Amino acid sequence: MFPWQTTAYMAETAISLFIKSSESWRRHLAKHEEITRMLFNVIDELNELRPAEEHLEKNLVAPLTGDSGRLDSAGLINLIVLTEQQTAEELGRPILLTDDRTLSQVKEVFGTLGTLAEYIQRLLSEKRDG
Amino acid sequence: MDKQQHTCVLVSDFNLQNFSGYLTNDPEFPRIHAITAPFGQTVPTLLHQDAPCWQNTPDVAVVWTQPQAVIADFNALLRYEQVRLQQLLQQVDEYSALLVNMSERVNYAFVPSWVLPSYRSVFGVLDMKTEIGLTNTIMRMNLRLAENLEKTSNIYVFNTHRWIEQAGNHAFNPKLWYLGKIVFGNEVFKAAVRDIKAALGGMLGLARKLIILDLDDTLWGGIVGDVGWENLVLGGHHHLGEAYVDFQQALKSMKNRGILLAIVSKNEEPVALEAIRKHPEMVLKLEDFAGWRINWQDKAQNVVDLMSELNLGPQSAVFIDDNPAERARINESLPEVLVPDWPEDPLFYPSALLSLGCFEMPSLSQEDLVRTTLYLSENKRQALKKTVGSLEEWLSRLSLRVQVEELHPANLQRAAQLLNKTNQMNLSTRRLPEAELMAWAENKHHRLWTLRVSDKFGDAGLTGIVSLDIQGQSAQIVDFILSCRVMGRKIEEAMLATAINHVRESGVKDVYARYIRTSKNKPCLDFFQSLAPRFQPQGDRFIHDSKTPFAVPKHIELVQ
Repeated sequence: MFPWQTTAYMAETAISLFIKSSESWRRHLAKHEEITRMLFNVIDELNELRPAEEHLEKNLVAPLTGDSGRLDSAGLINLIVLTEQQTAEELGRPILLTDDRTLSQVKEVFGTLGTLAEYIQRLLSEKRDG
Repeated sequence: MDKQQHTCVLVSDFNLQNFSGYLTNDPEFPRIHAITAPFGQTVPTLLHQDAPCWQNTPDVAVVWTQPQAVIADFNALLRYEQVRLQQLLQQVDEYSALLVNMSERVNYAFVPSWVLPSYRSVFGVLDMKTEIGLTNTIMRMNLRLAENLEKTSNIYVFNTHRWIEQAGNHAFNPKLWYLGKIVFGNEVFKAAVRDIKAALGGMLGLARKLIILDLDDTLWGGIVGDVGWENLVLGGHHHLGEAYVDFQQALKSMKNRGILLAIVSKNEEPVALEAIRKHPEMVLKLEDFAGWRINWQDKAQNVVDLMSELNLGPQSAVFIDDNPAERARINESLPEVLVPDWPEDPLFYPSALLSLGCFEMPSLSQEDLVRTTLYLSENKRQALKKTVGSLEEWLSRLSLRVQVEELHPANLQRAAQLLNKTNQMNLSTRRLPEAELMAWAENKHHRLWTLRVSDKFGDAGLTGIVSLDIQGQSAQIVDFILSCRVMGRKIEEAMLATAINHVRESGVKDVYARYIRTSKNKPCLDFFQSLAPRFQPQGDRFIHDSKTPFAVPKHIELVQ
């Protein structure tokens, strides 16, 4: 192999790796968007149960649980059940949000819609990898 | 529209927080504010009228229980212990008595029937065996409950299975039970809210009374003016033809329950009527329609004319048309008329009609069953009116007879229905359930008369109510109600004569009517204003000096 061939090979490999990683990033973003859309539908459902002044916001950073969150324990149960239901229906894959692993980190998982979306994405990718 | 917020107590052995959320936050009328009694306290809550939930004089109660929570022997049966059916049904009787007792605290009580999640029927073929099968037992319990509660006029049992069917796979979710003691999925609660609101709306007089129908591609398939009645898609061995027949059958069943049918169609009238008369598969006959406007005029104007002919307001009507442009026209020009989105596919017409949920009636009276006949008699009256010169001449030829009766158990149901449904000729628009109306009429200071109206064309039935509250030297006309079917024949004056004659005989000095304005009762105000000087207006009151007699119109035979 000539030296100029080695350089070309290295450049090609680097470009290919870059393309692959950006594709996987794009897939990640697309899935995140899909999960967010699904969670916004869950919020629409939850809001049917609540007076207008107590509606939950459809954004990823507004606190859901904890001291500044609007969800009480009954609201959290509804969020869990509806999220499981809609993940299976809209994303085509069931997840479990009532196992010890999830319930031992309620504040972290259900802190905001953003943290919940990240967690669901992790569960779905674990399932795929497993 | 009923703007009042109705307070509703929810009593249950399980968590009804989600149901309460849907009930309170649903934007449709009637608006409900739900108060949830502590769950798991069903029997104490039903027993003790001092419980906090009853303290805000609620209008409505919903008592929704699991069978094993209130019937001890059913709980034993769930463990497959041996139980005696008679003993179990006796417990249903005892529970029913608690419900009857509770119903005195509210105007309306709703009791969803008992159900079990389908996974409970583990014994398959034994499930329908007497004293063994859970489904067999629960069916008997529900029937017994319904029979026991039938005699109490303000308790209504709902069929919970309907809600379960509508919710499909989401009817039950063990997670909701184990995490929150919630028996049903939210879809069940949403279906329950729809039915409860429809029922309450019916009781408050908000039910629709008239369905206005298009003809071409609505009542039958095809354009009759183009293809001729012989070639319409209706009946026969054709899936669309069968769907149109089923749609007509569903309409006929509504007509038999007292809902009026009418036609507004852009067509040549003789051509359309010929199709109705001659097509062998027409389920609906001409006499099933209380009226029609078949011409090429604007449909909105035709709807207005038709409702005026039938003496009904736009809030009474539902407009069904396959053409979205016509639906939009009515929606825009007559917003109070209910214009449902209509499926494009005629195969969905029957189910679309049956799921409208706006025709709920708390009871069925004889008048309901023959309502279309009553309107057809009215058409004959109007035809006579066109042939005679003056109003007086027309009235004198009707041979009007008004029979006055006190309120009694035999006419109570119809009187309560009239009180709770009438909007236009209604002085105070107060709404009372049967038991409260009877209790009011039995008070020694109160008098209430019902009036049955008939003429040579037919019997309109019990169509009027007038009542008095006499305190010392003053008598107040509290209810002054006349069905729109018989308005404008001076029966109003016969009603006043009935009340005033009683006041005069009792030696009371003054009699007055206090008009309480609603969005719909202007005809009543117009009537009292037309009575001057016999009734003098003073603010919202119309006062009559009882020294002056008030005569029954000459063309009316008043029978007491």
